[in-house]
Amino acid sequence: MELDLVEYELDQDTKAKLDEVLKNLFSKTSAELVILADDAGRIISLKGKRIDEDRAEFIASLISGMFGAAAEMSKMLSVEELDILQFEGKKVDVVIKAIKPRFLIGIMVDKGVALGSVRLFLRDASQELEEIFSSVKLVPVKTVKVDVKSLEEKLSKLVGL
Amino acid sequence: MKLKVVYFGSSLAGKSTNVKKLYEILKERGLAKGEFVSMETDEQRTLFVEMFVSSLNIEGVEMDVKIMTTPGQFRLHPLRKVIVKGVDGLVFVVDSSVERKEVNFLVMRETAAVLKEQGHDLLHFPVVVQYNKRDLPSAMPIDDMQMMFNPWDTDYVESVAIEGKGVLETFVKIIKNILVAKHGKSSAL
Repeated sequence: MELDLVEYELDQDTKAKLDEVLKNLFSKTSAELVILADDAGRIISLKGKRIDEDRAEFIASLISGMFGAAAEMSKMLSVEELDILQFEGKKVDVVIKAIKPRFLIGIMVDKGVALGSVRLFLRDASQELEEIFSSVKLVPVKTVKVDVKSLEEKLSKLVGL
Repeated sequence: MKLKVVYFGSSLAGKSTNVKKLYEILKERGLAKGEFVSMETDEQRTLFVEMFVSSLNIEGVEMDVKIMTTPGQFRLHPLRKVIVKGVDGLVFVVDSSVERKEVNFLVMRETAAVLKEQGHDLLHFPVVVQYNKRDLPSAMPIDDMQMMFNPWDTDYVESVAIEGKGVLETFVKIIKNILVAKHGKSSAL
């Protein structure tokens, strides 16, 4: 048996559109950080002032974890489906919103920024993002053929086993 | 390519030890990105999650593998559901001691239910079974454990995670199984 390792990516046009929405939201809200991720915590796009990619990966996981945990609580308490989650810190506020069909956007802003306006801009951005996702296309960027028998060998060699 | 691997198993089976050891080994070899993130209670029990990201390159394909644990305690079941969301492959860490036989089985059943809720079938999911704590005097024979805890007849690894034994082998096997499940073409030779 042989594997086709296909690496899929969003097409360039979609990527550019998503980036543009995030860029607008980032500048309109003077955010510290805006992350768009899927509900399993995989980053799709991000804009941030002082954030490296590795740290953003963890933040995306925590965003998905926190939203997921709050959604579980909503279900248990039989309240309506969770759409937005917000919490306030001493220096920053964080708002996380669901984007259909299975994405999340998280935004972190300084205390000085009015949360009402953040939520307003977030609502507009989420509508735009949902429109983009409704017509999304995945494009294969690379196909590599790997023999299954040698795959374990290659992986073992790679990690130094 | 981004993959999510979750280590599940009963409370105190050694999930956190596995992930911590794996991080140490991969970090030393330049294959782990960033830090190890851990959310524990005061008693060093996993409250929510432990995780890190490993970066691998197979034949020119970049793979970022996010490795996470689920909390083992039964009271934290809702959090386990959250962490398992969108998972690509599972490592079932089984405590080899005979005293933990029942609880190992319960966790397997509970995980199957969580996956089913999310539209997956545990029996058709990339899994590696790791029989941990093989150094215990009360460790069950492998044949008996295979009967009870490996309904997939999938790869298994014997380990003593606290000493790092079997940790890397488990990781290699789960990545292989995920790639085969996601991209395997049975028609090709």
